[in-house]
Amino acid sequence: MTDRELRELCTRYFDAIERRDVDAVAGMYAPGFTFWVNLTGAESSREENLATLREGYALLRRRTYDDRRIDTFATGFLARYSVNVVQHGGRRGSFAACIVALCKDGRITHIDEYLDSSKFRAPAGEA
Amino acid sequence: MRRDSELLALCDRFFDAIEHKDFATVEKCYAPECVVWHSHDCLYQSRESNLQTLRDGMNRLKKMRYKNRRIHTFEGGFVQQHTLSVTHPNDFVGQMDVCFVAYTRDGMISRAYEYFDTGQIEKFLGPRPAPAS
Amino acid sequence: MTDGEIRELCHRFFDAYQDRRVDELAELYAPDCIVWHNVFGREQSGADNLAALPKSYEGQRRRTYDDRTIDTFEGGFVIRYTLAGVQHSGHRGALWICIVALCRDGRITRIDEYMDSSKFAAWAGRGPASGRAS
Repeated sequence: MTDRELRELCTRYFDAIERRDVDAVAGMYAPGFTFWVNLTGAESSREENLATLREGYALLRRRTYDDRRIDTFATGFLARYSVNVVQHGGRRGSFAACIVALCKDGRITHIDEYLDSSKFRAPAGEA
Repeated sequence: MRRDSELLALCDRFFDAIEHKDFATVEKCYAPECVVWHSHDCLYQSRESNLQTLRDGMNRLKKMRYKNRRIHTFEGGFVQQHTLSVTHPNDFVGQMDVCFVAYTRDGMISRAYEYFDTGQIEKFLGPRPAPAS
Repeated sequence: MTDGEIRELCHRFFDAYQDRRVDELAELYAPDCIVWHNVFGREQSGADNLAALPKSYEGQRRRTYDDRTIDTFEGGFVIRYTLAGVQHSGHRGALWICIVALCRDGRITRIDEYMDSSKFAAWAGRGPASGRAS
Protein backbone atom coordinates (compact mmCIF):
# COMPACT_ATOMS: atom_id res chain seq x y z
CA MET A 1 0.00 0.00 0.00
CA THR A 2 1.23 3.50 -0.70
CA ASP A 3 1.92 6.19 1.89
CA ARG A 4 -1.23 7.99 0.71
CA GLU A 5 -3.43 4.86 1.00
CA LEU A 6 -2.09 4.08 4.48
CA ARG A 7 -2.65 7.63 5.73
CA GLU A 8 -6.16 7.72 4.30
CA LEU A 9 -6.95 4.35 5.89
CA CYS A 10 -5.65 5.55 9.26
CA THR A 11 -7.65 8.79 9.07
CA ARG A 12 -10.83 6.97 7.98
CA TYR A 13 -10.34 4.48 10.83
CA PHE A 14 -10.21 7.10 13.57
CA ASP A 15 -12.96 9.19 11.97
CA ALA A 16 -15.24 6.14 11.86
CA ILE A 17 -14.58 5.30 15.51
CA GLU A 18 -15.32 8.91 16.45
CA ARG A 19 -18.67 8.96 14.69
CA ARG A 20 -19.52 5.50 16.12
CA ASP A 21 -19.76 3.91 12.70
CA VAL A 22 -18.85 0.35 13.71
CA ASP A 23 -19.90 -0.99 10.32
CA ALA A 24 -17.33 1.26 8.65
CA VAL A 25 -14.69 0.13 11.14
CA ALA A 26 -15.63 -3.50 10.41
CA GLY A 27 -15.16 -2.82 6.70
CA MET A 28 -11.60 -1.70 7.38
CA TYR A 29 -10.64 -4.82 9.32
CA ALA A 30 -9.31 -7.75 7.30
CA PRO A 31 -11.21 -11.04 7.88
CA GLY A 32 -8.48 -12.43 10.16
CA PHE A 33 -7.92 -9.12 12.00
CA THR A 34 -6.42 -9.37 15.49
CA PHE A 35 -6.10 -6.73 18.19
CA TRP A 36 -3.59 -6.59 21.03
CA VAL A 37 -3.62 -4.02 23.82
CA ASN A 38 -0.85 -3.49 26.34
CA LEU A 39 -3.37 -3.20 29.19
CA THR A 40 -4.19 -6.91 29.13
CA GLY A 41 -1.42 -8.31 26.98
CA ALA A 42 -4.11 -10.47 25.39
CA GLU A 43 -5.04 -10.72 21.76
CA SER A 44 -8.67 -10.44 20.69
CA SER A 45 -10.38 -11.38 17.48
CA ARG A 46 -12.07 -9.14 14.95
CA GLU A 47 -15.52 -9.84 16.37
CA GLU A 48 -14.38 -9.40 19.98
CA ASN A 49 -12.82 -6.05 19.17
CA LEU A 50 -15.88 -4.80 17.31
CA ALA A 51 -18.09 -5.87 20.24
CA THR A 52 -15.82 -4.03 22.68
CA LEU A 53 -16.05 -0.96 20.51
CA ARG A 54 -19.86 -1.07 20.43
CA GLU A 55 -20.13 -1.63 24.19
CA GLY A 56 -17.62 1.08 24.97
CA TYR A 57 -19.69 3.84 23.40
CA ALA A 58 -22.30 3.60 26.14
CA LEU A 59 -19.72 4.34 28.83
CA LEU A 60 -18.86 7.85 27.69
CA ARG A 61 -20.68 10.87 26.33
CA ARG A 62 -17.97 11.50 23.74
CA ARG A 63 -14.52 10.35 22.73
CA THR A 64 -12.35 12.04 20.08
CA TYR A 65 -8.97 11.13 18.63
CA ASP A 66 -6.98 14.33 18.29
CA ASP A 67 -3.47 15.61 17.60
CA ARG A 68 -2.97 12.68 15.26
CA ARG A 69 0.63 12.18 14.16
CA ILE A 70 0.82 9.51 11.50
CA ASP A 71 3.93 7.81 10.17
CA THR A 72 3.74 5.13 7.54
CA PHE A 73 6.04 2.28 6.72
CA ALA A 74 6.00 -0.40 4.05
CA THR A 75 3.45 -2.65 5.76
CA GLY A 76 1.40 -0.28 7.88
CA PHE A 77 1.26 2.82 9.97
CA LEU A 78 2.04 4.23 13.37
CA ALA A 79 -0.40 6.71 14.89
CA ARG A 80 0.27 8.77 18.01
CA TYR A 81 -2.69 10.74 19.29
CA SER A 82 -4.57 12.19 22.21
CA VAL A 83 -7.80 10.54 23.34
CA ASN A 84 -10.13 13.19 24.67
CA VAL A 85 -13.12 11.90 26.62
CA VAL A 86 -16.18 13.55 28.04
CA GLN A 87 -17.94 11.46 30.65
CA HIS A 88 -21.69 11.42 31.12
CA GLY A 89 -21.27 13.68 34.13
CA GLY A 90 -19.42 16.23 32.02
CA ARG A 91 -15.94 15.56 33.40
CA ARG A 92 -13.25 15.78 30.72
CA GLY A 93 -10.06 13.85 30.46
CA SER A 94 -7.26 13.38 28.01
CA PHE A 95 -4.52 10.82 27.62
CA ALA A 96 -1.85 9.94 25.10
CA ALA A 97 -2.06 6.72 23.11
CA CYS A 98 -0.36 5.01 20.21
CA ILE A 99 -1.20 2.24 17.78
CA VAL A 100 0.98 0.28 15.40
CA ALA A 101 -1.18 -1.13 12.62
CA LEU A 102 -0.28 -3.70 9.98
CA CYS A 103 -2.17 -3.33 6.73
CA LYS A 104 -2.63 -5.22 3.51
CA ASP A 105 -4.78 -4.74 0.42
CA GLY A 106 -6.52 -1.68 1.82
CA ARG A 107 -7.41 -3.18 5.20
CA ILE A 108 -5.95 -3.43 8.69
CA THR A 109 -4.76 -6.93 9.59
CA HIS A 110 -3.47 -6.28 13.12
CA ILE A 111 -3.32 -3.51 15.69
CA ASP A 112 -1.08 -3.17 18.74
CA GLU A 113 -2.50 -0.50 21.02
CA TYR A 114 -0.61 1.20 23.85
CA LEU A 115 -2.54 3.01 26.60
CA ASP A 116 -1.98 4.08 30.19
CA SER A 117 -4.76 2.65 32.31
CA SER A 118 -3.84 4.87 35.26
CA LYS A 119 -5.56 7.65 33.30
CA PHE A 120 -8.89 5.80 33.40
CA ARG A 121 -9.25 6.06 37.14
CA ALA A 122 -10.79 9.13 38.76
CA PRO A 123 -8.40 11.21 40.86
CA ALA A 124 -8.37 10.29 44.57
CA GLY A 125 -11.44 11.56 46.39
CA GLU A 126 -13.71 11.53 43.35
CA ALA A 127 -16.39 8.94 42.68
CA MET B 1 -10.34 15.19 14.42
CA ARG B 2 -9.09 18.49 13.03
CA ARG B 3 -9.45 21.34 15.52
CA ASP B 4 -8.42 24.31 13.40
CA SER B 5 -10.20 27.00 15.39
CA GLU B 6 -8.64 25.76 18.64
CA LEU B 7 -5.20 25.62 17.05
CA LEU B 8 -5.55 29.14 15.70
CA ALA B 9 -6.71 30.35 19.09
CA LEU B 10 -3.74 28.66 20.81
CA CYS B 11 -1.28 30.16 18.34
CA ASP B 12 -2.74 33.65 18.74
CA ARG B 13 -2.93 33.31 22.51
CA PHE B 14 0.71 32.23 22.79
CA PHE B 15 2.21 35.00 20.71
CA ASP B 16 -0.18 37.68 21.97
CA ALA B 17 0.77 36.77 25.55
CA ILE B 18 4.46 37.26 24.79
CA GLU B 19 3.70 40.65 23.25
CA HIS B 20 1.65 41.64 26.28
CA LYS B 21 4.26 40.29 28.71
CA ASP B 22 1.64 37.95 30.14
CA PHE B 23 3.99 35.25 31.38
CA ALA B 24 1.27 33.24 33.12
CA THR B 25 -0.60 32.73 29.84
CA VAL B 26 2.62 31.89 27.99
CA GLU B 27 3.39 29.21 30.55
CA LYS B 28 -0.09 27.69 30.26
CA CYS B 29 0.37 27.33 26.50
CA TYR B 30 3.28 24.90 27.01
CA ALA B 31 2.41 21.30 27.87
CA PRO B 32 4.40 19.82 30.78
CA GLU B 33 6.52 17.78 28.37
CA CYS B 34 7.14 20.65 25.95
CA VAL B 35 10.57 21.02 24.37
CA VAL B 36 11.67 23.63 21.84
CA TRP B 37 14.17 22.88 19.07
CA HIS B 38 16.14 25.66 17.44
CA SER B 39 17.82 25.54 14.06
CA HIS B 40 20.97 27.28 15.24
CA ASP B 41 22.03 24.40 17.51
CA CYS B 42 19.61 21.58 16.63
CA LEU B 43 19.09 20.93 20.32
CA TYR B 44 15.85 20.51 22.24
CA GLN B 45 15.61 23.18 24.92
CA SER B 46 13.64 22.18 28.00
CA ARG B 47 10.34 23.79 28.87
CA GLU B 48 11.83 25.53 31.92
CA SER B 49 14.84 26.83 30.04
CA ASN B 50 12.74 28.14 27.18
CA LEU B 51 10.28 29.81 29.53
CA GLN B 52 13.21 31.45 31.29
CA THR B 53 14.52 32.72 27.95
CA LEU B 54 11.10 34.15 27.15
CA ARG B 55 10.79 35.66 30.64
CA ASP B 56 14.23 37.27 30.33
CA GLY B 57 13.24 38.72 26.96
CA MET B 58 9.93 40.02 28.28
CA ASN B 59 11.71 41.64 31.23
CA ARG B 60 14.65 43.11 29.35
CA LEU B 61 13.22 44.20 26.02
CA LYS B 62 11.05 47.28 25.82
CA LYS B 63 8.84 45.69 23.20
CA MET B 64 8.40 42.39 21.38
CA ARG B 65 6.11 42.24 18.37
CA TYR B 66 5.25 39.33 16.07
CA LYS B 67 4.51 41.05 12.80
CA ASN B 68 3.14 39.76 9.51
CA ARG B 69 1.83 36.56 11.08
CA ARG B 70 0.88 33.87 8.58
CA ILE B 71 -0.58 30.76 10.18
CA HIS B 72 -1.46 27.38 8.73
CA THR B 73 -3.05 24.68 10.86
CA PHE B 74 -2.75 20.96 10.29
CA GLU B 75 -3.73 17.82 12.15
CA GLY B 76 -2.03 18.10 15.53
CA GLY B 77 -0.30 21.42 15.05
CA PHE B 78 0.33 24.66 13.28
CA VAL B 79 3.05 26.64 11.57
CA GLN B 80 3.40 30.38 11.98
CA GLN B 81 5.72 32.55 9.92
CA HIS B 82 6.38 36.00 11.32
CA THR B 83 8.88 38.80 11.60
CA LEU B 84 9.92 39.21 15.23
CA SER B 85 10.58 42.86 15.96
CA VAL B 86 12.18 43.72 19.30
CA THR B 87 12.99 47.09 20.85
CA HIS B 88 16.14 46.85 22.94
CA PRO B 89 16.82 48.93 26.09
CA ASN B 90 19.01 51.23 23.97
CA ASP B 91 16.07 51.72 21.56
CA PHE B 92 17.69 49.68 18.78
CA VAL B 93 14.91 47.87 16.90
CA GLY B 94 15.95 44.39 15.81
CA GLN B 95 14.18 42.18 13.27
CA MET B 96 14.29 38.48 12.50
CA ASP B 97 12.19 36.37 10.11
CA VAL B 98 11.15 33.21 11.90
CA CYS B 99 9.28 30.04 11.07
CA PHE B 100 7.71 28.40 14.15
CA VAL B 101 6.32 24.87 13.78
CA ALA B 102 4.33 23.59 16.76
CA TYR B 103 2.93 20.14 17.52
CA THR B 104 0.13 20.15 20.03
CA ARG B 105 -1.44 17.88 22.59
CA ASP B 106 -4.67 18.54 24.47
CA GLY B 107 -4.73 22.19 23.49
CA MET B 108 -1.11 22.94 24.43
CA ILE B 109 2.19 23.13 22.60
CA SER B 110 3.96 19.81 23.12
CA ARG B 111 6.95 20.27 20.82
CA ALA B 112 8.11 23.23 18.76
CA TYR B 113 10.70 23.77 16.02
CA GLU B 114 12.00 27.28 15.40
CA TYR B 115 13.96 28.25 12.29
CA PHE B 116 15.79 31.55 11.85
CA ASP B 117 19.06 32.90 10.42
CA THR B 118 21.73 33.55 13.03
CA GLY B 119 23.95 34.63 10.15
CA GLN B 120 21.97 37.86 10.33
CA ILE B 121 22.03 38.09 14.11
CA GLU B 122 23.29 41.68 14.09
CA LYS B 123 20.04 42.75 12.46
CA PHE B 124 18.32 41.33 15.54
CA LEU B 125 20.70 42.08 18.40
CA GLY B 126 22.28 45.22 17.05
CA PRO B 127 25.84 45.92 15.92
CA ARG B 128 28.48 44.26 18.06
CA PRO B 129 30.80 46.65 19.86
CA ALA B 130 34.21 46.94 18.20
CA PRO B 131 36.88 44.95 20.07
CA ALA B 132 39.15 47.01 22.31
CA SER B 133 42.41 47.74 20.52
CA MET C 1 -5.73 19.33 -3.16
CA THR C 2 -5.95 16.45 -0.74
CA ASP C 3 -3.42 15.56 1.94
CA GLY C 4 -2.21 12.68 -0.24
CA GLU C 5 -1.83 14.82 -3.34
CA ILE C 6 0.07 17.50 -1.46
CA ARG C 7 2.43 14.96 0.11
CA GLU C 8 3.09 13.37 -3.26
CA LEU C 9 3.78 16.78 -4.79
CA CYS C 10 6.17 17.57 -1.94
CA HIS C 11 8.11 14.32 -2.39
CA ARG C 12 8.11 14.68 -6.16
CA PHE C 13 9.50 18.19 -5.79
CA PHE C 14 12.32 17.19 -3.45
CA ASP C 15 13.14 14.01 -5.35
CA ALA C 16 13.44 16.07 -8.56
CA TYR C 17 15.58 18.65 -6.73
CA GLN C 18 17.79 15.90 -5.39
CA ASP C 19 18.15 14.15 -8.73
CA ARG C 20 18.74 17.45 -10.56
CA ARG C 21 15.76 16.95 -12.88
CA VAL C 22 15.27 20.61 -13.67
CA ASP C 23 12.74 19.87 -16.43
CA GLU C 24 10.50 18.12 -13.95
CA LEU C 25 10.88 20.95 -11.44
CA ALA C 26 9.74 23.36 -14.14
CA GLU C 27 6.50 21.36 -14.40
CA LEU C 28 5.96 21.56 -10.65
CA TYR C 29 6.32 25.33 -10.34
CA ALA C 30 3.16 27.24 -11.19
CA PRO C 31 3.79 29.95 -13.82
CA ASP C 32 3.36 32.65 -11.14
CA CYS C 33 5.43 30.84 -8.51
CA ILE C 34 7.39 33.00 -6.08
CA VAL C 35 10.37 31.80 -4.05
CA TRP C 36 11.47 33.69 -0.91
CA HIS C 37 14.58 32.92 1.11
CA ASN C 38 15.01 34.22 4.66
CA VAL C 39 18.74 34.48 4.07
CA PHE C 40 18.31 37.00 1.26
CA GLY C 41 15.01 38.49 2.41
CA ARG C 42 13.73 38.92 -1.09
CA GLU C 43 11.45 37.20 -3.54
CA GLN C 44 12.40 35.77 -6.88
CA SER C 45 10.27 34.22 -9.59
CA GLY C 46 10.13 30.47 -9.99
CA ALA C 47 11.68 30.91 -13.42
CA ASP C 48 14.67 32.79 -12.00
CA ASN C 49 15.02 30.19 -9.26
CA LEU C 50 15.10 27.40 -11.85
CA ALA C 51 17.53 29.27 -14.06
CA ALA C 52 20.01 29.48 -11.19
CA LEU C 53 19.86 25.75 -10.45
CA PRO C 54 22.38 24.31 -12.91
CA LYS C 55 25.12 26.58 -11.59
CA SER C 56 24.02 25.90 -8.03
CA TYR C 57 24.36 22.16 -8.59
CA GLU C 58 27.96 22.62 -9.70
CA GLY C 59 28.81 23.65 -6.16
CA GLN C 60 28.57 20.16 -4.64
CA ARG C 61 29.24 16.62 -5.67
CA ARG C 62 25.90 15.56 -4.24
CA ARG C 63 22.96 16.86 -2.23
CA THR C 64 20.23 14.76 -0.61
CA TYR C 65 17.07 15.96 1.08
CA ASP C 66 16.74 13.69 4.10
CA ASP C 67 14.69 13.25 7.25
CA ARG C 68 11.70 14.82 5.55
CA THR C 69 8.95 15.60 8.06
CA ILE C 70 5.89 16.85 6.22
CA ASP C 71 2.70 18.36 7.56
CA THR C 72 -0.02 19.39 5.14
CA PHE C 73 -2.66 22.06 5.53
CA GLU C 74 -5.37 23.44 3.30
CA GLY C 75 -3.48 24.56 0.23
CA GLY C 76 0.06 23.65 1.15
CA PHE C 77 2.63 21.99 3.31
CA VAL C 78 5.40 22.64 5.79
CA ILE C 79 8.46 20.44 5.52
CA ARG C 80 11.43 20.21 7.86
CA TYR C 81 14.42 18.37 6.47
CA THR C 82 18.14 17.85 6.51
CA LEU C 83 20.01 18.95 3.41
CA ALA C 84 23.04 16.66 3.40
CA GLY C 85 25.84 17.64 1.04
CA VAL C 86 29.06 16.15 -0.18
CA GLN C 87 31.43 18.78 -1.50
CA HIS C 88 33.84 18.11 -4.36
CA SER C 89 36.59 17.87 -1.74
CA GLY C 90 34.72 14.97 -0.11
CA HIS C 91 33.74 17.11 2.88
CA ARG C 92 30.33 16.20 4.27
CA GLY C 93 28.06 18.83 5.75
CA ALA C 94 24.42 19.42 6.55
CA LEU C 95 21.94 22.24 6.78
CA TRP C 96 18.62 22.07 8.61
CA ILE C 97 15.91 23.78 6.66
CA CYS C 98 12.21 24.47 6.88
CA ILE C 99 10.01 25.34 3.92
CA VAL C 100 6.41 26.50 3.92
CA ALA C 101 4.93 25.95 0.47
CA LEU C 102 1.58 26.89 -1.04
CA CYS C 103 0.07 24.64 -3.69
CA ARG C 104 -2.72 24.79 -6.22
CA ASP C 105 -3.84 22.35 -8.91
CA GLY C 106 -0.87 20.07 -8.51
CA ARG C 107 1.74 22.79 -8.60
CA ILE C 108 3.67 24.94 -6.16
CA THR C 109 2.72 28.62 -6.15
CA ARG C 110 4.96 29.87 -3.36
CA ILE C 111 7.99 28.71 -1.38
CA ASP C 112 9.22 30.40 1.82
CA GLU C 113 12.55 28.89 2.79
CA TYR C 114 14.21 29.27 6.22
CA MET C 115 17.90 28.47 6.70
CA ASP C 116 20.71 29.54 9.02
CA SER C 117 23.45 31.19 6.98
CA SER C 118 25.88 31.01 9.88
CA LYS C 119 26.10 27.29 9.05
CA PHE C 120 27.19 27.83 5.42
CA ALA C 121 30.90 27.76 6.18
CA ALA C 122 30.70 24.42 7.99
CA TRP C 123 28.46 23.10 5.19
CA ALA C 124 31.05 24.04 2.59
CA GLY C 125 34.03 22.88 4.60
CA ARG C 126 35.44 26.36 5.01
CA GLY C 127 36.87 27.99 8.12
CA PRO C 128 37.75 26.69 11.58
CA ALA C 129 34.37 24.99 12.11
CA SER C 130 35.08 22.68 9.19
CA GLY C 131 37.99 21.03 10.96
CA ARG C 132 40.24 21.50 7.97
CA ALA C 133 43.85 22.59 8.38
CA SER C 134 43.55 25.72 6.20
